[in-house]
Amino acid sequence: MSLMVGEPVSGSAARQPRNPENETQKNSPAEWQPRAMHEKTFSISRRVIVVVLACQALFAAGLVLLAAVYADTELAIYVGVAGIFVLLVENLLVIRTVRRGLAPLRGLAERAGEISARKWNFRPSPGGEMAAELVPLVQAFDAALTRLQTSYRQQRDFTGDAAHELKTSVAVLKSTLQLLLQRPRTQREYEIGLEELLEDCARLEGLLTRMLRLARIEQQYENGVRPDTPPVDLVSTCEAAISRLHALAEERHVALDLEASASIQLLADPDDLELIWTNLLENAVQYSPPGSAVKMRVDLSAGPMAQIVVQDSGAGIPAAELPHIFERFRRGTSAPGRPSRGFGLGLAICKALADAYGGTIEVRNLPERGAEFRVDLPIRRN
Amino acid sequence: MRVLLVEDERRLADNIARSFRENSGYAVDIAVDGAQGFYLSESNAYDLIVLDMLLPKLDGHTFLVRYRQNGHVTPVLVLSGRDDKESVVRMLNSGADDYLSKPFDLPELLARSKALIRRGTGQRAPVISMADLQMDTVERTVRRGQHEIALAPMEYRVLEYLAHRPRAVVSKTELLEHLYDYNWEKFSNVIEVYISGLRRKIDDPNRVKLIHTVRGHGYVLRPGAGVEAISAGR
Repeated sequence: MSLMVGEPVSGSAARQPRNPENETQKNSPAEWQPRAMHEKTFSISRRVIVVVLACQALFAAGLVLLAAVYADTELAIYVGVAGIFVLLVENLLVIRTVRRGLAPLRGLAERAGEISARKWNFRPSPGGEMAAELVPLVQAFDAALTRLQTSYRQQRDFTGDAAHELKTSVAVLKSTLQLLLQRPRTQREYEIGLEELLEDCARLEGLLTRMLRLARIEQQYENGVRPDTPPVDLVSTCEAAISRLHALAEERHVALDLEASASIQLLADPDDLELIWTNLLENAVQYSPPGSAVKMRVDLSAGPMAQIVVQDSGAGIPAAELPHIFERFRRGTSAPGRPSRGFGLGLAICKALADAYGGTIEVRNLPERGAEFRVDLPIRRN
Repeated sequence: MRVLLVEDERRLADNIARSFRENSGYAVDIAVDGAQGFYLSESNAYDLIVLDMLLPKLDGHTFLVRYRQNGHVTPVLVLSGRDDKESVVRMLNSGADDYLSKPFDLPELLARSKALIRRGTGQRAPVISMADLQMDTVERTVRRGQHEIALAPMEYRVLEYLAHRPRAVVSKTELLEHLYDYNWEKFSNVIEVYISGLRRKIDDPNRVKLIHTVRGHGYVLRPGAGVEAISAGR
């Protein structure tokens, strides 16, 4: 999540002499300066004509020479004049063909110039002629643009959703304050109001923490920066997450079971792993009926991947929500009688972390009851 | 007046509802997702709908489009965290009557809501007058001539509803539906109590009677001339 895309080069930075150290930094302002497009330009049509003309001139000279050597000078003159005429006609045809062949390029250049955040179309207008040689380029360009458009849309949606969530949190805070000031209140009412304000602040803080965390994970992933982490014991991170969720589980009368026959060392930040498990377990506990159990299982038998499974015995996830469950700000249907307090970022964070470590995360409804989240993380053996 | 509030952020919904009840004496139903909100909007009579735009199950825009397609004319005030012009225009073009972007001011929300309710019933002025009765819907005060009349909160709400529909016959069920939230059936016997209280305070000391019973149909607020024939319920 980078909210500052394409920042303009600031005036002072642009005036400063270029510092070679700066150039090695990622995302330095220098990177956004327009680069010289090409070293040297050449015209295809001019080159083709020059080559064709040279070949033809050589051929004609040969013919004239042959005519002059083997016959008489008069014949050589006729051959020469006729040859020049034929060559002229042929050259005109060559020029025309080359121009026509290159015409779609000009159209494509115009279309490329029109591409913007509002207009992503690069495909040439239907019915127009297109050189077969250009088709792969156009297709590649079009595919790249489609991908860019998708990610641009996702980015825009995310910014919009993030703004909505932040503004809602501020709206809650503000409305609590204004409600409190709406009329004179008793000491007790003010106390309750202040406690509610503290809760609202905690909520806003939670939202900010999660959003920043998600942004950091994605930035690390995009930059390909994997901090040098010492190996960490997988099962111990699961145990840490379970002990962290202990209080909530007890409050909701849900048991937490961990099943792990063996453990393994993974090259990962223990905080990251613990965060994935905590989010999955918290989700499972919240959707579990009282008296049930949430099961966590670590399986190392599946080849190069370590498999971690979290199962609950709640109502499962509605089929319509399954494909979107890892999207940011996607909130599931809250169970009846329980207010939804989440932001829809927990599972998005799990997915971002699993992706960052080269793993996968999947969800499915269990045939009998409940949902199952499965995380596969690659085991790197040195 | 009865308001439907469709807002998935429970804390915000509770605050708005409390504010409506405290400040304006409105009955408020809360829906925490679009589908529940739509069900309520179809099955109850509301004077105003306050609608969040980003909702689970059924988003605010689809809600609005379907609601208007079904022919409802209740004013809708949209709340949203997205204040880009496109969304505002889209919501207004889909049948929203007003738009407030989050974080909004509660007093502004209340004032806009009152204005929308007034407009929805054809009233423009915040002070409703009939004969020498003056009802200030902002200050929530009632005067008859020079005398300020102290009304109980529910009496005020009954009178406010009648005053927004002057000369129209309002049934008891309609009053109940618009003055209470979804529990209104429980209160079916109390309307007569409030009406008689209002008569005692507003009409009894005065020669021109304003509140009349139309037997078998309901109540009507209008100046007394020539209404004795239908006010047989007294």
